[in-house]
Amino acid sequence: MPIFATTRSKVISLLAGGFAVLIANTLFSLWVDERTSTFTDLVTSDQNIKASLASLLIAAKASESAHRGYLLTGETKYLQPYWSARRALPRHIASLEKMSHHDLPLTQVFPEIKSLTSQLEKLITLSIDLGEDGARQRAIEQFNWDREHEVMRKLRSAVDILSNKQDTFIREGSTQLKNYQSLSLYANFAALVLILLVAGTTGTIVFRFVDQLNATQFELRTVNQGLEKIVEERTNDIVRANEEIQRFAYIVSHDLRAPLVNIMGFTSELEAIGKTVRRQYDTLVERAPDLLQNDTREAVKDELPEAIGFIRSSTAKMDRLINAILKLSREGRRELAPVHVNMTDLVTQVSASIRHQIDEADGEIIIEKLPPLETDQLAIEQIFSNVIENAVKYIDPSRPPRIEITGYAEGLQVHYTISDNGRGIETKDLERVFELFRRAGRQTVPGEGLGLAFVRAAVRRLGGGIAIESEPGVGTTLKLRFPKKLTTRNSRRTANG
Amino acid sequence: MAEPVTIIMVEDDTGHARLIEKNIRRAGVSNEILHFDHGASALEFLEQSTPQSPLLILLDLNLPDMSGTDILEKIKADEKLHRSPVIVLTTTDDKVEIQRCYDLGCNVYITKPVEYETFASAIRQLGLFLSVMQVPSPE
Repeated sequence: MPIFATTRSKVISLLAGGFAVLIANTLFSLWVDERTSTFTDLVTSDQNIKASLASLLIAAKASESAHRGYLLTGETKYLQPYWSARRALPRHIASLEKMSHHDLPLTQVFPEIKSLTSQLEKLITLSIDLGEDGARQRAIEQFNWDREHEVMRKLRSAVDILSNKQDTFIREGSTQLKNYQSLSLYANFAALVLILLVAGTTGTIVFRFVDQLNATQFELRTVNQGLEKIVEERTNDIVRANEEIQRFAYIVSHDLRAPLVNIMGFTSELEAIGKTVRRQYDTLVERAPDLLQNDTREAVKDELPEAIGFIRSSTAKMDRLINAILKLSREGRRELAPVHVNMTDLVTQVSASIRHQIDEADGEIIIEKLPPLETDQLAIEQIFSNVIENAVKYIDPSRPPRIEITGYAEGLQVHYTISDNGRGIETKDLERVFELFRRAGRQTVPGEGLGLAFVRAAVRRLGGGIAIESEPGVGTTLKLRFPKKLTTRNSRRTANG
Repeated sequence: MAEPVTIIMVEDDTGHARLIEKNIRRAGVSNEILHFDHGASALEFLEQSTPQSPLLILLDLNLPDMSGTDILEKIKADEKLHRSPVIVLTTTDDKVEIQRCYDLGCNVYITKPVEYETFASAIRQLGLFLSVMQVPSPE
């Protein structure tokens, strides 16, 4: 998981970096575009100004030379260019004036050019008007040639200075344009390199991550296969350990029994000897009481039978306990044979043996329809018979007993509940009641403390589970759970081939 | 049982052996009873001696040095012993073990009752049975 998290954050930050580079490059390109178009506009307008200035100068020169030609020859055909120049001049002035709003040098010089042009125009117009009236000679004489020359020179020099200035601007503008273009190129190149770097690093990380993922997956698969094997091995170990415990229980109980039989046997012998001695003693009491010592009477009449009585009760108890272990181990060693069991019939049958006890106490036993099982008939019968017997054994005498047995199937499991209104079990004793030779509560009925221990062992052997709930003075509920179909080790082995 | 049949008792627990002997005697059996508490010593006696009297063998299966079934097998394979009746008297009531013993030629299989009173009465009944039983003489 940490590999995944770090890789993800790495890839995300790299991608974010890549996007940042792209955005920065786009913004920069936009800025360069804006600058370039500004400079292009500037250069264009400078070129336009230059062209307009040139046109103005040409028109001025044309009108000057047309005027001169007309004055010298008197022929009106020379006036033709003048008229067209005169029409063109205001246009040029107007366009220059318009352009002068955006161009500082032009703004500075434009009033002079405008006034020079209009001065020139006035001079020429006056002179031509005079000539047309037929006073050509006077017109020639009166015309202020110097003034015209002066105006023309000033105009020319103003235009030249301005043109030169415009040329400088155009050159500078072009240089700037070139600079921006190369800047844009460098920026694009840098962005490309960065993007390639990001893509390369991201690719490497992703590939490495995928490799790691593949490796992990492979490892996982191997581990999984190993796990299955381990589970199988452990299961076999448990089965073996269980078998060993069963064998141990059997051997212990079996071997303990042999000396016990001797103790019991020789106790019987002792008892017989005691009786023989007692007969002899009785005869002695009758015939020669003087010979008897006081302690002999006590020994023969009280102490010997008492000692034998204790030996007998203890050996009898030990015998029952060993029998219990033997029974448990025998049951554990028995091969299970799963068959279809009609549980309603089975429980009804089992409860028939205790029904008279219930009837005597005016109680009732309710058996609902129970889901069937495929399990070992004998084991399930023993389980239910033990549990139902317990319910009858530990009734609360203050009320009529009521035992209810219900059940339901759920998935692959079947649940049975046996509830009674008996005397109940203290919470602290709930686990104890399942232990071998342990019992709980007042010992009002005889027993070895074997029933529930046996029930739990049998339930587990059938692959099930057992739970107990109880409230003292209210009743006890036992919950049993079994697999619908019992799989024995043999059937599993067969299933596996 | 016709005199002078000798009863060979192979039983590792001397207490048991004594109790068995006592109870057999109580049934009126007065034959000689030879007790062996090890399989090896019993076999040695059986194979090496050339008994003049017929033999009856009481055999326990759980012996410290060898299995009772091995002894049974050897007796039933022995040229001069194989006709001697063998009564297996043991604590095991395992089905397979019982079958195996009869397969090997045991003549009677008795499971020692686990409670002493029934044990004692079973042995007394065995004694009564022995007293009417015919045992082949050695050839």
